[in-house]
Amino acid sequence: MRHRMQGFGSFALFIGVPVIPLIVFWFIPMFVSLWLSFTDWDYISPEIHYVQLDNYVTVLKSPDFLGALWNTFFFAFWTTVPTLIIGFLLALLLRVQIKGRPLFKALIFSPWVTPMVAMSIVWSWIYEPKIGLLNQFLGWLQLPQPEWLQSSTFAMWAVIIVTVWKSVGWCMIFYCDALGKISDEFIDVCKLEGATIWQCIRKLYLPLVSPITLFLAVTLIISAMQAYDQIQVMTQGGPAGSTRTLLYLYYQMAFQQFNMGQATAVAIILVIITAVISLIQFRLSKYWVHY
Amino acid sequence: MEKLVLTHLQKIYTQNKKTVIHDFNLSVRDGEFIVFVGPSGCGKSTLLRMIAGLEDITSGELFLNGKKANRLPAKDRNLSVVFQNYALFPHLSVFENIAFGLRIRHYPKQKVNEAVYNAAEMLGLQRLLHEKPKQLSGGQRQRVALGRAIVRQADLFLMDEPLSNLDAKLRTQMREEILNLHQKLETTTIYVTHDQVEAMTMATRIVVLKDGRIQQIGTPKQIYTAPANTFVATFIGMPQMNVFHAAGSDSARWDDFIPLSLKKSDSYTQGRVLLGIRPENILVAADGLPVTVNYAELMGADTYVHGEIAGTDKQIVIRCEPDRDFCSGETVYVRFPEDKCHFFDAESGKRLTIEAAAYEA
Repeated sequence: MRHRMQGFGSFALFIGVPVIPLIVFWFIPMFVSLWLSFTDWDYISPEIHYVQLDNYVTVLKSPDFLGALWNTFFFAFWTTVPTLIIGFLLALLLRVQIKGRPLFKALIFSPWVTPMVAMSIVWSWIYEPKIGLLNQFLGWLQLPQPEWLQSSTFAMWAVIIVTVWKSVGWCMIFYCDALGKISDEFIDVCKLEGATIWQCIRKLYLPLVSPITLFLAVTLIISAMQAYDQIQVMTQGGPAGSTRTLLYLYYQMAFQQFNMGQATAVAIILVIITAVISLIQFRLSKYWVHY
Repeated sequence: MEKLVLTHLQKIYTQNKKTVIHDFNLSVRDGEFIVFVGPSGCGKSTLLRMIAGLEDITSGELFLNGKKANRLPAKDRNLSVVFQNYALFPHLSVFENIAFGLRIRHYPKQKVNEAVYNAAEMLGLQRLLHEKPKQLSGGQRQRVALGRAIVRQADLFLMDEPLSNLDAKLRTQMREEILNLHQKLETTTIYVTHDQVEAMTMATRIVVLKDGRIQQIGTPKQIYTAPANTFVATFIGMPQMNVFHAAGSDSARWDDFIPLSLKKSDSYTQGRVLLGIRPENILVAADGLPVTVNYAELMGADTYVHGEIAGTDKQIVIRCEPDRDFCSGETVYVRFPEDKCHFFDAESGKRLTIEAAAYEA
């Protein structure tokens, strides 16, 4: 009996304690959100009516939602792919034993440890059309100087550049570690066979770092789906909704329009989309990830 | 014809200015099986990498097929390397691993298939061609690595401790397979190992290395029967050769075993000669030098008797027939046949003939 009690105590301590915050801050809000998405709650009034699937139907038909959905995919693709490529290439460059390598690594990694809000503020100064550093530089090169954050054509690219710039160092660190684990003998085999750098990348490096690529791709896409800080600081979803992603649409619907029902419907759709994309990535991984 | 000639080869690492290969000279004839043997850190793998073109040559000259190749890129040297850890790409099948070099060099598909299937047949890998390396045993992986070397039809095979990751039984089996392959293909091979058994059983000629310097080059028999110095004498042979000071305070003990001419010499009386005798050459007799037995190891075919020469702290190992039992503390008498004794200069460790030992100042 005593033994049983001890077993229960251990269970409560090691499983129960970590599960409590998970339930309070994750499961309960998720289920409440799911319930709210079937209601017309306006965030203020105590009256809540059950509206079945109306919120979903309205949201899915709304041009704002479709625009934000497209923006989300666009943003996720153009932040994930360049981050992976640049991170990988930087890590590949850092394989060369050059002086000041740790400093170079630290410099590239530093944006990752800088808060996104602070970074976005600095970047909005850089993007300033008249006196911003970027346009000054472009002017010096005799290149066009767009109104980065004020133009619906360039605003999304401006936010993407900031996001890529922040994540590239983080990505590089993972790739540095993965590339460092590749045995020198493999590289010797490539040298002996006269493989070009492109052949080495294609036949050796990319397959051998594929598990890290999968991990980074999944996490980068998830974090792209959840991008908020940079959009809030730099564009507030504008101009003309050109940088409004699903999460930002959720924020606007919930806390600016007080339409909590539709907002949570958007949030639920976002969760489903993220889960489906991650699932597809894992399913496809068996064709290109080598453990 | 000389396939590979190395003259005054030297390697200095620029970072720590350490010289790892000193004035290395060697000529390798076509079809030879050369084994570089030596303890860890003696520079044998560095040397192999210099030959392969994977490591720069600091000074000296390297000739491949009569042409100077110091700066020739590794890919243009037409040689294949079998690595210690096999270097099989985990994401590629056995077939693709074997075909790797041919694919990189853009060989036609049909030629690749033909070459891979031939190599697989030669190595008994036909059924494993679609497996991944992690699904193979150590021996099978080693065969795949050999397959990758074979398909290239290289001029020279370089093998860097290819059997060191295998267990003893498999190592013996693979040793035989590599030798069979060498006989079949007659490709000049340079094989690096720290295992003297591999060196003795596989080599046409052995190059014994220590601290980046050649200690001796010779056939296994030459190396074993006439070691050039005390290092070679004690490195090759299991159990290792017994080496004692031939004179000095112990002179009375050896008197019966030392040739008369040697005993009269200055170098003997001044203790400048070392006497070496292999454990299997020591005779256990009714009388002779008394040895107190410490313990005996029954190895199956032989018994190794470990003891010390009575009244001294000199350790001695005797290899005996297995049918005789030895007890700890027992005294046995041993004799050293004169023609089996080796003599070395105590200072330089170099081999001396009896005459040289007797008369050399």
